[in-house]
Amino acid sequence: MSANYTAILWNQQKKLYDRYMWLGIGLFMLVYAVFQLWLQPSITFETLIIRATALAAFVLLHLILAIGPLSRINPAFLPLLYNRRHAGVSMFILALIHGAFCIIQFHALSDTNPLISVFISNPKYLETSQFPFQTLGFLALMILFLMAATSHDFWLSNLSPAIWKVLHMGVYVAYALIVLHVATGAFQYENHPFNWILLFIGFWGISGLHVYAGFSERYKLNTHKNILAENGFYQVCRVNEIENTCAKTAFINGENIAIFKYDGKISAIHNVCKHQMGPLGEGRIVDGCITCPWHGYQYLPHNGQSPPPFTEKVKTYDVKILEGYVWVNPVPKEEGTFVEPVIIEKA
Amino acid sequence: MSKKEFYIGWQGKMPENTRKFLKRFLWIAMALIVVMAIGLVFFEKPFKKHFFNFGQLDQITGVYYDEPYPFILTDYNAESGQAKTVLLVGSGKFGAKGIMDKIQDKSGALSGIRITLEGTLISGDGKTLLELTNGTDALKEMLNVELIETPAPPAPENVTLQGEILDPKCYFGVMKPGEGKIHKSCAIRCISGGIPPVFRASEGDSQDERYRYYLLLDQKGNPCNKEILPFVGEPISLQAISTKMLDWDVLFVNIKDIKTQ
Repeated sequence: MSANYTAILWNQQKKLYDRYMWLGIGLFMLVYAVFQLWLQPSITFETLIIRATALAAFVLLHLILAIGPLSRINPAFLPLLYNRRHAGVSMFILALIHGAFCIIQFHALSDTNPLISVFISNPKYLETSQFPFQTLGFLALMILFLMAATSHDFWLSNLSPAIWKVLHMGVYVAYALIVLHVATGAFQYENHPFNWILLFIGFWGISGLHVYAGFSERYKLNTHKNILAENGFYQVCRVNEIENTCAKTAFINGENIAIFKYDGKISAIHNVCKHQMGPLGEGRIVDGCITCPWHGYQYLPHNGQSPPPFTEKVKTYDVKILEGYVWVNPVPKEEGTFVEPVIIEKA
Repeated sequence: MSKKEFYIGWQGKMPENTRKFLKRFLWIAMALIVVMAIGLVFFEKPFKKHFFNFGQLDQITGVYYDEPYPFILTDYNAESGQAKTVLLVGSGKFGAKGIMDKIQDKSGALSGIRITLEGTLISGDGKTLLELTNGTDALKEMLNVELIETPAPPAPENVTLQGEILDPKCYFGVMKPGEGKIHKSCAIRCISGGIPPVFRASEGDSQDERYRYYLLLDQKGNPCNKEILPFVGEPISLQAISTKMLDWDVLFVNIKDIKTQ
């Protein structure tokens, strides 16, 4: 968390993250280059750069897309999610180098403007086998640029988390374009089954992880146990079903609610973090604050406010305990509204 | 991760079990990365043994001709009819015609004159090209007018061929690879810029990679660069009249007789 904007916010964990990420990128490119020069020494420098950066970016993109569902399936992957934005920007830099070298190599020093040439040199847009695959890569690069340029918290705050999130869901459009770019371009020439198997595993692996994580998420949402009680309160679970410093989540009348147990009390707040819409209900109470599992943003459980000097606020909800059951009123209070925590009476 | 563990990025230290889990994950990921990188290279198509003497200027002496594309005839044996022509190309994605026209504006017509040109050699599969890297400074020497009586070309014959239209500058050495869809846009730009289009026809079965190369001209024997652009860099079949120009096979083709496959 940071109260002020800085160009790039690094801390010990982020430095460690970036170090291992670039070690992986470097290792891939080094091994690729060494074997390339060994097995095919006549490769040109430009082709080596074009291929190494493209492959490194594509592999990294798969990892980036896998981090979200992996973290939902197993929270031990959450450290990979913490600094995913740096991975995204790094991937964009690799893709940009690939794109720039391709435009120079295949389109520059010609009778047409290189950027226009990308779109008009091969005009067979209506033919599957000859489709101008470079345009797909170019469009994907533009989406990745937009995402990299707005990746900073300044944009997250100014665009609003909801709009920022929608914008950054563009990564799936970019991924689809890149898969098509590879399938209708490079793999039309480098068409060994090994390459197609890798592409197949990558695409279906990412798709499968998302579907699996989506189903398990849906299962976790407590939507089927709610029984309407008096005064608009809904029964959620038994008090002892909630672990201390943890939460149970409930999705009632369109409200996504996290009900936390801490210090012998119960409080309910909105389940969506103000930062990047992380699932607060999967977080913990740390130092008296609900702590988001994604980036560690914090909120006080009784009023949904971030501790000063931070200013984020989330909605709060009335809760009550009846005969050992937790009940919640899904009508939200204004963001940051104090709600008296319910004391858990010992049986 | 232990149920009691909770990772917070801004905290200095990662919980122990999470750290161990990620360490295992990283080792597996790194091993996969290495295997993948090696596999991707190992299963690549081998590059053709074509050659671009990048950064090195060579001088070639021979008799210059303007048409159908600028070339010089370096070796010619009248008795055997053996000839070696060197196609000239410009820098970047341009043919040599613009440069040779400018040179001739200063020096006078060079066609049929023995000259020495300096440039970068491109060669592969028995064909040689010279890139006039330094533009109009390429002309190093004008020697003498040389009348060469070339042998009469063989009788033209109708042929039907399958293959791909390539730009010879990239294909014979500048780019690796310089063929197929991956290179299609570049080949289109090169041919559009005046580099002579070459038709590569497979000889024998597709496995042994023996090819025959033809210079492509229209039915009247004129360059047809712009007209054939829609067919560059993809599998095509064509019907044409085939003949020979020194050591180059030549096809006179009607665009209507080119079909995409």
